[in-house]
Amino acid sequence: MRYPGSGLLRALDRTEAHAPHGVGAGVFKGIFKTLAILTVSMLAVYLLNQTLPDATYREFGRGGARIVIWLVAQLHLMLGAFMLGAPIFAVIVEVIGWRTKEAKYDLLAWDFTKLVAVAGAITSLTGGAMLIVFAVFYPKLFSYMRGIFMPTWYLYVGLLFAEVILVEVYFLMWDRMARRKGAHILMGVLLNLVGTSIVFLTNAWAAFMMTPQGVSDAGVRESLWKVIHTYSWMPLNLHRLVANVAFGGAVASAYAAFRFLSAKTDKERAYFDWMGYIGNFIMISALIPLPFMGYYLGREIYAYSEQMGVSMMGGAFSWLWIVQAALIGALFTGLNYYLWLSMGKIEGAQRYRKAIPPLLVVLILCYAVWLTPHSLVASLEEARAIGGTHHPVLGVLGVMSAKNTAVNLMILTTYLSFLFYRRANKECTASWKSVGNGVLWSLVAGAAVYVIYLGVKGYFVPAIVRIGYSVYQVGAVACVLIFGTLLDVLLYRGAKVVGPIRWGRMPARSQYTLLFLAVSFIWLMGLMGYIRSGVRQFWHVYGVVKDTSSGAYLPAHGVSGMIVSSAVLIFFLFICLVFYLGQKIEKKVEISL
Amino acid sequence: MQVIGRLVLFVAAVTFFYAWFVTKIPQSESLPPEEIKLDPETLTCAQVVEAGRKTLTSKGQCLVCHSIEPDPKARGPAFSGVGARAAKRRPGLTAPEYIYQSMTQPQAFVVEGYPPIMPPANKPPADLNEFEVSAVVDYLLSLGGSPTCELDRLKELLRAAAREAPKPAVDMASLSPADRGREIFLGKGTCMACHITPHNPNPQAIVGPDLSKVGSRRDADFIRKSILDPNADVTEGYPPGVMPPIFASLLTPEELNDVVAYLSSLR
Repeated sequence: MRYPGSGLLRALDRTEAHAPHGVGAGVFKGIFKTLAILTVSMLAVYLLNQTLPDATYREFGRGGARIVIWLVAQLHLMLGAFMLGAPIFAVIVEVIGWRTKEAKYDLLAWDFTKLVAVAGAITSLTGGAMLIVFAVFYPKLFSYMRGIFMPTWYLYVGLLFAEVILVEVYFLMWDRMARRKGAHILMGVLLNLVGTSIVFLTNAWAAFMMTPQGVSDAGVRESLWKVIHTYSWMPLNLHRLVANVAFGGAVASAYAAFRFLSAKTDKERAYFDWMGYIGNFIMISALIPLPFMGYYLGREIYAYSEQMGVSMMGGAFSWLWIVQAALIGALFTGLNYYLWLSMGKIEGAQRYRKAIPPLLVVLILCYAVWLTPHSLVASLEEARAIGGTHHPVLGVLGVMSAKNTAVNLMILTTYLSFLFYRRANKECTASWKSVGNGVLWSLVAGAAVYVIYLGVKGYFVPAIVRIGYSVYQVGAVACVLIFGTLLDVLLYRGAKVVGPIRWGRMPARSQYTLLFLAVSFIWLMGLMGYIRSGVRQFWHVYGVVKDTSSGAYLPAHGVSGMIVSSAVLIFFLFICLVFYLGQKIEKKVEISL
Repeated sequence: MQVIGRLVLFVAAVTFFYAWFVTKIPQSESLPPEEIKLDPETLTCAQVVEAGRKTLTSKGQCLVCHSIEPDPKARGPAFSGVGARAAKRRPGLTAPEYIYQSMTQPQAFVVEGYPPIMPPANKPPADLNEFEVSAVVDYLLSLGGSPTCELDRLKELLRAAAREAPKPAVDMASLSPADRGREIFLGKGTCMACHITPHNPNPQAIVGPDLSKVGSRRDADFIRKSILDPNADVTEGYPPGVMPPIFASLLTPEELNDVVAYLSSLR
């Protein structure tokens, strides 16, 4: 293989053995593609700005430029989230495989990384498109942001190339470094450090637009660190880091579902059934702490500007929070359904089937409460129709006390489904079984009663006290999740296996459920991103750079929903291409599930 | 490929179900606040009060935290009856002075029981101009009291507001120091209130010397010194002590340099 490259690239190539193509060639291709996309994009920006008349904004139909930027930015963000989130759990799974010496984990980590390697070029392409549309449609804003963050752009480009190189090397050196697993994992850690730096750096730009600091009243930068370290920067970093892991898990489980549905052999079906389960588990594990990161972000927004906080929670966006509730409820329901379907492939799970109907009833009731609106921006006619700004009966359930109680009970219900799934084919043999189970069930029941007690008490105390209750409710549920799981692991250590888990014996609808969970989560991410960005309202940079374009308005909810849907659908079209290309790269490894 | 096709169809069905769901909730579109258009020549007190009411409910976003009638959930005091209360709030301040101060320096006096969270109404994000602030003051005075409606002053403020172009997306970082200084002169520095320059041909700005050609008669060091210590060398014909010595703390060193560059360029 001949290509122009440095000594390092050639040296890497000589070490390549079982990779789909040479390591050096892979690295070179990665660098070349990124460089080409970057060069073409910058050239396009330069030529278009030279050719088109000078303007503050360039329109693309009425408000069309804004929609194009919105779509392209959302797409790039989604692909970027996968690119940066998936390697986090790939390394974790690789570590598990290394320590347990189970080949299945190593293969799973390799499969996740393969998708990341394949998605790289598409992510760069959407990044290039974003650069072009932003710089051409909003040239003055682009110029302002470029000036404010000037040195960080160079750092970003540097990190981008480091990411491209590390992804290629990490993936293509997998087999060659099989006997030096520690060093390979270290490379994965380095890849994640670079990825996290990219997340933090790009978040600084978004956070500045939302909660700007470090500029004078006239918008002139006073300190680079201050414009980076704004109120919303760290909460956004944490929120996106965890969300990226959940996002990566969602896409990985969607890939597993696709491969399961197109599998030709039982072995393939078994492996991808297991992969889907793990991907989904990762998604949910990262999803559960996300609301806390959201609270942190919200708190900082309020601290920065009470006005912005109030607009976010109670203004034009209030109905979109109901949509968010609908999506979260759908996620919990879908997840429980998937776990119940999964129990069908486990011999011994019949013992727990009778628990499913009551769990379903609790879920439905909680979902209904979670969905109930309280005070919303309503027209006079609407307010008259429901007899006030909130419904006289149902409005009582629409308050925070009821909603917090409902969502915490939904988490507990899902935990129980997970517990039954875990125990399905096992029989506890521990001598302290009765005591252990007694403690565990008391823990779950105690948490449920405590959550309900605080929920009811919340109606009779001032708002400031009531807000504090949500922390106790969440704390009680978190205790169950942590200590309950720990106790269950100890109880079932060395348990008697009463039947096999028949991986792959799953109905097709289980895989569509996985896909549904992935789509719902990604849609939710698009919606929340819109709310976060939309609270700036008529400002590009809140309070500093006013949006005077024809797109300076918040569209009707239906329009924003349609844009989010379009972004999700286009993202899946891209990701289908990744899946298609991904299935062409295979390696034969004997594993036992 | 068949599986991919089914997958895409399923994803399309789910995403567009969600889109359909969002179309079924009550729709609201949030437009930028309308700029108030009044004719200064025929301005009446009723128009001013109405303009104040509109500003308060739209561009000012006052009702995000305040309410007209007392509401225990509101984050700020209710407006009802403020016209009568305002004169008694702070000794030495008349009712319009108190309301004006509450709007532009909200932390100067915070009503007991409320958190100090209000941003100045004449700064972003509300960013009300002088006419709008005055109109809101008159509207609030009308709630339980009487608006002062200083029509001559209001007419001039309205003309001044009309002269201001809509605020474009600033591109300060890419401007030259002199251009940045011009923006500071006309904005944060508030120099335009007292001094005329080619970019501020306001005939009312005669409290201080005309600076239209200051660069041709004074060097940069003198200009800098005059900004930092205005009473050190007062131009003949102007009383000392009028220009406050606050600019060393009001402006950053970079901003001061920019203003000096701007004034030096006026020749």
